[in-house]
Amino acid sequence: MEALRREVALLGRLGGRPLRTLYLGGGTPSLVPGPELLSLFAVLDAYFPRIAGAEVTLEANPDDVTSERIVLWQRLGINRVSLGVQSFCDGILGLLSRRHSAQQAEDALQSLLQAGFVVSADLMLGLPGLSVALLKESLKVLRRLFPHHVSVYLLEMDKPHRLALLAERHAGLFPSEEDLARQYLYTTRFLRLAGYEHYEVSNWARPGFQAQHNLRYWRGGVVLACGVGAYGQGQRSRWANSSDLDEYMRLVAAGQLPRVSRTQLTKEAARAERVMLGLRLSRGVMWEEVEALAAMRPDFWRLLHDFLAAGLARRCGGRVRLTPRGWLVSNELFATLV
Amino acid sequence: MSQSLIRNFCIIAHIDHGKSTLADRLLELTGALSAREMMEQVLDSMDLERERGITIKAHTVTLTYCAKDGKTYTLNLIDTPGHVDFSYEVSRSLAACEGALLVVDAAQGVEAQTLANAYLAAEQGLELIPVLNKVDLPQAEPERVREQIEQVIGIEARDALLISAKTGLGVPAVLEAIVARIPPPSGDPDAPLRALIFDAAYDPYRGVRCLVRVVDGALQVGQKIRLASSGLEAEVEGLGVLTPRPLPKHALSTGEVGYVFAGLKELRQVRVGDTVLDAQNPAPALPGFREIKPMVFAGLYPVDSGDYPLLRDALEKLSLNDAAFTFTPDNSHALGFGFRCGFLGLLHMEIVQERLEREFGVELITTAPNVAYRVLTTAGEVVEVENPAQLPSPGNIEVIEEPVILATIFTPETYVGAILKLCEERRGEQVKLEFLGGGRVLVEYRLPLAEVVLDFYDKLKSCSRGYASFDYQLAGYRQGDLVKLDILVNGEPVDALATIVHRSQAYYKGRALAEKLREMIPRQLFEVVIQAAIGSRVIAREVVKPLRKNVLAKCYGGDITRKRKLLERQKEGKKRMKRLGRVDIPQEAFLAVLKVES
Repeated sequence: MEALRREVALLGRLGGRPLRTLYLGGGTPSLVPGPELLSLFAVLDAYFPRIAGAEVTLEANPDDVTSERIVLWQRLGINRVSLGVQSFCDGILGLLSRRHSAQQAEDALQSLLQAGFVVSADLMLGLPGLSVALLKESLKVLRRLFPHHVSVYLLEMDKPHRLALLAERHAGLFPSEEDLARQYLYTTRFLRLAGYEHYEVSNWARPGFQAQHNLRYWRGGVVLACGVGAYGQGQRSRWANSSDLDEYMRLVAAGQLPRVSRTQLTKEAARAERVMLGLRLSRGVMWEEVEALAAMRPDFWRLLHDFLAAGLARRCGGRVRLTPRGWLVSNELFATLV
Repeated sequence: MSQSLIRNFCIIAHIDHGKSTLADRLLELTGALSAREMMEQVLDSMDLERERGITIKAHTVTLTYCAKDGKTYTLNLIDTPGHVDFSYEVSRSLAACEGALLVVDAAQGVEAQTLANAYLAAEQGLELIPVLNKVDLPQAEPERVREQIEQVIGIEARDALLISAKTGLGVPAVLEAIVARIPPPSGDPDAPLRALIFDAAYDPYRGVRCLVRVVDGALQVGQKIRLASSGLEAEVEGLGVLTPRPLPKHALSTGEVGYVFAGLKELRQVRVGDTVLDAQNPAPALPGFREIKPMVFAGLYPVDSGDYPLLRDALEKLSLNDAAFTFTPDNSHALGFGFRCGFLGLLHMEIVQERLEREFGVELITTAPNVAYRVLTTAGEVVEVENPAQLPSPGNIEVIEEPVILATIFTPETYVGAILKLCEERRGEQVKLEFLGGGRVLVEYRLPLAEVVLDFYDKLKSCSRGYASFDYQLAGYRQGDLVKLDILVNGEPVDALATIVHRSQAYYKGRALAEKLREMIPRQLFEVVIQAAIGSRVIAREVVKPLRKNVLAKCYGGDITRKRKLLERQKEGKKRMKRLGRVDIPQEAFLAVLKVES
């Protein structure tokens, strides 16, 4: 925490600026003790004043949500909480080794809403034993509590975690590709009927409550980032902090920014990335933007037309966007952009 | 040099029975190379030959040996190719010799390759000296193997030599036996020149280098020569012997073996088995010359269509030192521009493919190999069909004939049942079944070559746990009830997947092939329908359901680097596919027919 504060100060001295959004996440910031959070915010405020109405999000585990912490978070100016619910089914929470129960998740969500936070809840699809019926139960709880924002993720197996190992050995326990697609499309329909807008592959929001911070990232805005292994981005560049805690501490202690890599994107690569991130959003991208890629990325151009022909993408009002079914197979298209 | 002091011989052995090791020992003992100079197995000079432990091209080495009788002999060891694909070259190498060492592993006994080559040698009147190798091994049974040689090959084996090429045990006796038992060359030094070409290779600096055996007369530097089969005339620019380093000489006299350069620039100008004559005084050609024709055909296409010129150049360069394979430009709807290539056999095909990828860096898509069919059309024409897609429509076919082979299989008795079953499944006709005693059986079958080229050898090995050995020779053509099996993807026939099959197997193969393709073609944006058809009749239908999910759910901040890698991997996977209309087909699919069980 001390090193993090130092990094914030270093960055601030190089060019502090007012913030529109602030996001505390990656790891479990809801576990951080009050005094530590207080001093972090003191440094942040010194260099990066928040403009009025700025979105300040904290990632939290349901079992960390207590009335004391709620008071603390409010005092610090945190106005949005992203709650890692995963499921409202105890069996599945056990499988994920989560510390919280379904009841705890429900209570946490309730108290955060009552305290006046904008609340986002995370759910997970693709878990072993998760049927459409069980999923429906979780979605019903959401509809009843009606948080402002919902993120639903498909379990990804590209990281070597425990479930990936299980999937290798007992693929039969996991829902099939067909089932997973069905669950995703079911969720889409359910949440839309419940009053949510599906504005990104995995994100739904009540009107006016889209995650401002993430939108900034998806639209290619400048994002500063602090902490071990944090990534930041500029208009056409990206950089990464060291993901090695010792190295990170050493660099910061020596008064240096702990960045270990920096990538400058070519104009074309930046465009390709913009299109890729743009097509992940419901508003899609300008047709001119994809047209400009036609010559450089002929595979993309051809496949995009396949998407259009198969109803996986739609052209409308000078823009092109993917449908939820299109999002489900969007890597096919995006692989032609890298 | 006196003819009586020359001995020309070769070594006949099954793979791994120790031919190369024995050759190395002979070189060492005669001082051709010091032990320090010896790289293991000098004679196999191509990387591929050394790696696979097989000899692809003929080599020769001239040894000088002081025998116990006090005389100094010139021994020419002619190393023959060791694979059935090259049996014509083998026969020509044998024709350059008066004798052969028949090397048999004292533990394993006679194998099919030994037998086939021993028969070839015996037919040509060569003196065979049986040599039992690896007698130092605990499992060696020289007595049993000696009996086997007598019984199976039918030659006297009482005074077979017992050696261990690895340790050198008994090898000096081999040299003595060569001198004592192999007759000297019998040509006429005063007759006009006749020299047998038993190998030709391309040297980038000096052009074509022929290996020859002077049968009659002599060959001299500056001499005007004529090649009997083509009538091509040239002048001898240089000649000599290989020790194994080239040692230039002024002349090669009757009975000698050596190399000749005659300013020829293209390997195709020279044919193995041809006779070199004196242009001024041409004698009749030596017997036995034959045009070699490729037997197995496959389409070779560059993975990246932009590599077509690269592939063409590579094939041209390869053909400079491999005159046996043919290539003609071909255009497949499915695979674009490429070449239809002809090979002597499967091994030859593998070698060419491997050299293209390894030496020339061309990534290839290969279609399943097929044989050449002979079609008599209703119009009375005879057409050679090298590409199944080009088979005339059924209404225009009077008769189709397919090449057949005579297969020789040696196996322990235990596996006879499985082997007979395999041969019957492959439409074979039994020719001979002989129990040789000692638990060994000789099986001879007449089989369609088409049934052999795909996976017969692998199947034989697996149904005999690797114990059966196999060799074959071509045995003409046979009429067959053959039909073209088409594969359609989303209604479009894919020329590169068409095969010719026996009518009795068509249904089964069509279904199995469609099913295999369903497994191999990944899900795509659209449904993919795979059909197998004979003429206009669809006999099998399989569907690859459309892709349902391929998405990155989480894509925030730092993740992009990791996600990019994931997408890049997917992109790499796509690169290895060929696009057919809207369908991406993986390269392996073009070999799917190989994976269909009979």
